This record gives sequence, structure tokens and C-alpha cells, in this order.
Amino acid sequence: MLPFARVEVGMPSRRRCRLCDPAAPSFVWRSPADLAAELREIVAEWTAPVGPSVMLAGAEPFLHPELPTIVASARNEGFERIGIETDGVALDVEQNVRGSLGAGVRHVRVTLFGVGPVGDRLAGRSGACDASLAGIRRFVRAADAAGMPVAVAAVVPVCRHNADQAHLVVAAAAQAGAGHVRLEAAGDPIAGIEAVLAAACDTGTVNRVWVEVAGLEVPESHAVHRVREGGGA
Amino acid sequence: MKPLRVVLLALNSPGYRSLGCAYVRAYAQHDRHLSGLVAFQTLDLDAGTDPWWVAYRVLQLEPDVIGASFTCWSARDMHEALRVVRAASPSTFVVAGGPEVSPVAVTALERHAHLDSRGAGRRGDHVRGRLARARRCGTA
Repeated sequence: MLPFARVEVGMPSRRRCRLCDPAAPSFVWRSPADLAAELREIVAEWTAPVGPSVMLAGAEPFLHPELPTIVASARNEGFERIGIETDGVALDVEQNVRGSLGAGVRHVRVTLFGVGPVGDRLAGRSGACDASLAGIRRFVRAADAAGMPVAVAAVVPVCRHNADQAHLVVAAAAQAGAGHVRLEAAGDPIAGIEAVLAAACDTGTVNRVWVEVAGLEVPESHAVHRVREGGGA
Repeated sequence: MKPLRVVLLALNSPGYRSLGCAYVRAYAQHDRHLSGLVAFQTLDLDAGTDPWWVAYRVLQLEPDVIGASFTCWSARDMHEALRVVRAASPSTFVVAGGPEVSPVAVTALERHAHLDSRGAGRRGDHVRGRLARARRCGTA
């Protein structure tokens, strides 16, 4: 549909909550030259009718010491759409937001594990959830002030530790200004959460934020929220 | 046989919904000739929404036909969104309606390759409904 090439700026690519994956990450960064070569190759081989588009992901990109260089490389290579997958904390710094928007980033995916103390425990740091939401808020506000249309998605890796919070995360993300929430399976299948996911979808509808569900069962009444094959923003 | 999937798309002032799209849908759903043949979905999004985002939402619905409402506050973003949709899904038939294209229909169709047809008259309601029927019967 509207594909993104996913380029990991470093390892590890953490998309699991701290209770599922308790090990503290130690980051290994890829060099800008290495990433530039990969970006060039992606552009050369791009065949989709829209794009090329790239999502800079992997270990928290905003901790990469050369992120501005990497984004500039993506821009120079001719990517139509540049996105960053982040925990959102760094977006609560005005300089990061201005730098990202100025460099051409128009798409951010913010990982949210939950809200409040439960969410902080899953993210592994006190205050992490509020910081992520504040990052969304600042990014949206800055883009709005600059007249730049942006796509901000909150991505919730749903596991047995946070499934019952899904609707709360949707409400919080909507309030912060996200336009889209993606609930995606993380870890083992979880039984009996269809009603919670349906409530999360309905919470999104009421709060004017679209909710899509990937890899998790939702009732047939909410089938429109299922991610179609090849979909995902 | 699968029903023709029609998405009615509007970019409204935040908090509002498109009366035009609602009319089109209401007329079409009361048209006995379309009964069971056409499935309508209305996407009422806010003006100022990133056109890429709009395109993404539309494409997720895998429409056969898009009925797009053009207003002065949404025309530019609507064109951009439909340009992306057309690039990603060339077979999707795009019908433009609303006050921003109806008076300049020929020009709009000539200028914009992502538009296939336009509605006219009272919010284009009958035209778009009939177009859907014609497409369904393979006559358009």
C-alpha cells in the first residue's frame, strides 16, 4: 500500500516491555556511512509506486550521535517520506523537534507501553510514559505552528502485561495529539482480550484517533480496524 | 459477487462532518437499484490532516470508487491525498464533487490526472449514486 523501508540505526531493536524482556539494552550504533549506503541501495531498488519512504528505527534513533547526518542522507538520497520510530522522550526537547521538522521528518511512530505507573514499569523508567506523551504533544504543536502536516502514530506493543490498558493508552495518545494508534501483538498470543481491543477501537473513534490492530483478534464488528496485508503506518 | 466498495471522503473543519457525503450516501442507500451492490464507507477527517495520512486511511479500505468532496479549505490537501492514492492504486476510480470542483469541472479533470469524473448538481448526489451503479454494471 504505502510501504516504508525500515532501516535500523542501531541495535537492539526493543519493542517489548521490560517485564517481557528484562535485560537492560546496551546500544550498538551503525555508522552514518554504512547507513547512507543502505539508504542509497533502497532508493535504487525501490519499485513501489509511492515513495521511496524510510522509517529510521532500531535502537532509539534520537540517542544515535549522528542522527542529523543520517536524516540528511535520507533526504539527499531522495526519500519522499522520512519517519522515525522513537520512544518519544526526545521529542519533548524543542531543539530535537525543530531539527527533525527542519530536516524533513514528517512521520513519527512513538512506542507507548502504557500509561501512568503501570506504563512506566513496562517502559522501565519512572516518568517514561508522561515524557513520551509530552513528546507527541510538542511535536504536533510545533508542526502545527509551522504549518507542516505530519503523521504521528502511537504504537502499542500489546502483551499480557498491558492488554487491559489498551483503551487508556488510546485515550492518552489521542489527548496528546496522535492521529493514529496501532495496537500490535508482542510476545505470546493473549486469549480473551477481544472486548478490551474493541473498547480501545471505540475509544479511538470517540476521540477522533484511528486505531488499527495488528496480529491480535478483534470482534467481527470491529473488523475494519484490522490491519490489512501489507498495511501499517 | 462482492459489492462495489465506495469510500466517501471529506476533510472537514475539526468536529464537523460532511453533509454532502451524508446526502450522497443516504440517496444511494435508498436507491433500490444499488441495494446489495454497493458498500459505502464515509471517511470524515479533519482539514489539515496530513494528506499522506488521508491516503493511508483510504487505501486501507481498498475502495473501488472514491467520492471526494472538495471545498475551498480542503482542495489542496485533497488533491495531494488523491495523487498518492492514485499512484498506489491506479485502478481506483475517483469522482470529485463539492463546491470547489463543480463549477470548474472540465478544467479540474484536465488539470488533475488523479480525477476520473466529477459530480454535479445538488451536491452531485444522484450523479455519484448513478455512477456507482453504472460502474457496477460495467457500463462506465
